[in-house]
Amino acid sequence: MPDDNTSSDVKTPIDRRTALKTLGAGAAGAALAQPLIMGTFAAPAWAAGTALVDHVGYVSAVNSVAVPGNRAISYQLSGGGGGGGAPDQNAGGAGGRGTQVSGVIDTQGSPWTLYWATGQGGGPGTGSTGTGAGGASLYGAGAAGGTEGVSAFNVGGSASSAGGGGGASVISNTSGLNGSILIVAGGGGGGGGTGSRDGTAGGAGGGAPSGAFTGGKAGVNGGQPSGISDSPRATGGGGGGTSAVGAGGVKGYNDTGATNGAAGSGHNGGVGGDGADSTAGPYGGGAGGGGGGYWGAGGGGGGAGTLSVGSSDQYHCSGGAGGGSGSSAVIGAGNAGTPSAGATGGTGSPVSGGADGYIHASMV
Amino acid sequence: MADLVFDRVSEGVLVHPFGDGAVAADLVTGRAHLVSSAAAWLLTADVDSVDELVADLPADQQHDAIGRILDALDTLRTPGLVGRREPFEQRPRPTGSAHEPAGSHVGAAHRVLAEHIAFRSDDADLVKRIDTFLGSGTQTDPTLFFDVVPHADGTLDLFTEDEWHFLADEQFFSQLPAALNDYAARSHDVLALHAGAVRTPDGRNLVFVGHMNVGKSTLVAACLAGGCDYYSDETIGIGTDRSLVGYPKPLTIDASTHEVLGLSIERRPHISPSSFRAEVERLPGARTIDEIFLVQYDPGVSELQRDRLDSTAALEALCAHTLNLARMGLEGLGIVCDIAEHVPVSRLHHPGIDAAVPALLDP
Repeated sequence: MPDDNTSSDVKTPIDRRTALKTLGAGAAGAALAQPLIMGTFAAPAWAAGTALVDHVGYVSAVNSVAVPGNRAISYQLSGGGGGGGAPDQNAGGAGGRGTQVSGVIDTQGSPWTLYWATGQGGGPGTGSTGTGAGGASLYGAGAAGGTEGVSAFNVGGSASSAGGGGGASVISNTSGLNGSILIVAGGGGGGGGTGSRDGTAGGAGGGAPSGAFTGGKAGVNGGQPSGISDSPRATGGGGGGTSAVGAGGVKGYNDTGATNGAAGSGHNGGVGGDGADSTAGPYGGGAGGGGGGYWGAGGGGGGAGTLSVGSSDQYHCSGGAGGGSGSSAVIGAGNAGTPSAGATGGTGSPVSGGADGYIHASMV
Repeated sequence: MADLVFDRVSEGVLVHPFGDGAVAADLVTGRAHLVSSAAAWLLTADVDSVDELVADLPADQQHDAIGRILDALDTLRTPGLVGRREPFEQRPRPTGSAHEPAGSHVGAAHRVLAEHIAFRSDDADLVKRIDTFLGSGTQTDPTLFFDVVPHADGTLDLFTEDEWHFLADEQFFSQLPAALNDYAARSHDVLALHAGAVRTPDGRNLVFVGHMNVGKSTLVAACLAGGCDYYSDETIGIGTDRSLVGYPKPLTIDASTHEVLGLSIERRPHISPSSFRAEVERLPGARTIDEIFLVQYDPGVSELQRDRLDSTAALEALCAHTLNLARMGLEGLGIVCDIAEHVPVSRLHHPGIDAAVPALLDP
């Protein structure tokens, strides 16, 4: 090999005398004076393809793009994030992040049309004026959060309403979004509203699952409210399953008047349970969050917080639990999907809605 | 040396001098490594040259030297720079349509970096509409052809190297720039950077590098409105002589850019550069690049921040936006290294075009 060599992949003017000095002539047993590798960085564009679709935000109509038959498609698809539960003296529960599903759709042999729709983020809990709306979606809609308990006494502040679940996003090879290729990214669960006393924060909405998959991938359960010791606390809505809807969460201890969260329905999330006014008894707990639907349905809305009144032993008015996130799917695309945290969920203090879903698809 | 197991540089690893050492670009992993001069030598060496090197040492140093070389090879083996068994598939040069000519009507040649692409069809009106839509046609001899076949049901087939089927005219024209972008990114003749570029009124050639959604097209459009001429808003080419090669396609503008620029023109995804200023000239290229900006629109900054990068940071930034290194190979890596060391590269964080454009146009 010549000292100043050039080949098809290598060009270096480093002469052997330099190498001799560096590699050969050190003291016996001594390490090299200079590291061999001084830095490393990623260059993702080397493997990037040509963009076909790049859209952030909810769409109210199915969109389409043509795909050449001999090209694979790299995609990142995210459902909408869940809305945050409304705060009062404590933070509302954070909305769960939408699930981003990444993967590659194999070449299809002949030209085809990729249809897609992205879901909306869940709305924020709005305190005394209403609940967070579920994120809209052409595949599976997020569900509304539960309402807050209402009382004329308002001891220790007001209870607050819950955030809505995020809508699902979808890719398919038919305009009906039900073709042999079906990729669904679930929406995040809505956050629970806060209770009316210190230390009773709402539970967080379910977010993105982990672990590569083919077929279906279950969503994540919503979180329980924190800051209370009474048992049982309201449970979060179940994440959407791979063959069944997520179960509605169950209301907490002795919360007469509260309702359980609804289970998901089809691809849609379940509505969060309402909070109670605990004048009928002590220890008003938050209602359970709604469960996410299956195969990419929107996350269920979080249960609302409650309000309790009366003597000092009746102030355990808990926040609502979070809604479960919707499940995701990769059907007939040829390769596994990889889930990760996608569109951001809303925060509980200050309260905000979840971000809309998105799609990035490129030819590789 | 009989016991020395000596792994050669892995397939898909390019090595080029940079600074005091070299850069080893691994096309398989999509990572670049800054390596010392000793590592660069080892990546190029074969058993014989290592054997000779050791033989030239005094006998009492040879054993330790072999140990250091083996340790060094281990270090280079860990990230896959040597000894990786997987083959790396070289990508062929794009050929254009392999379909039989779709008709006798041939349109103008449209520059896509180093290629000049013409459309063929039996529908003369369709060819004319394509040429009008792209607006970049010249009488240059085409280097590649695309065939377009319209059908009675309103669908269209497009034959590039790939076969596309569009549901309607609207979808065809909406995606036509993507079909051309695909060829820009597959160039084997010039380094393709994900970047826009303009020529300022005082004749400077500025390149705006950035990923999707950082505001490249918005900045280019605002510069055009401010008096600049146009090379591209999506991909530019760089030759081995540091020349700039244009791709003066219609600009791809989203709804937010319409609002930022206060455009009164119809909201369409692809807009002619002359829509921003009637006198805008579409430029085929230039002999020099005056400055490269790593663009980031950032509403969180209170004022424009313009920071010159050192050559290593410039190399990283340029590598991150190079689209066709796998096709250009070592020649492409040489261009990246050359540009990083000899062309000013700056990071431009700006709070909006009102701050960015005057700063860029001020000579």
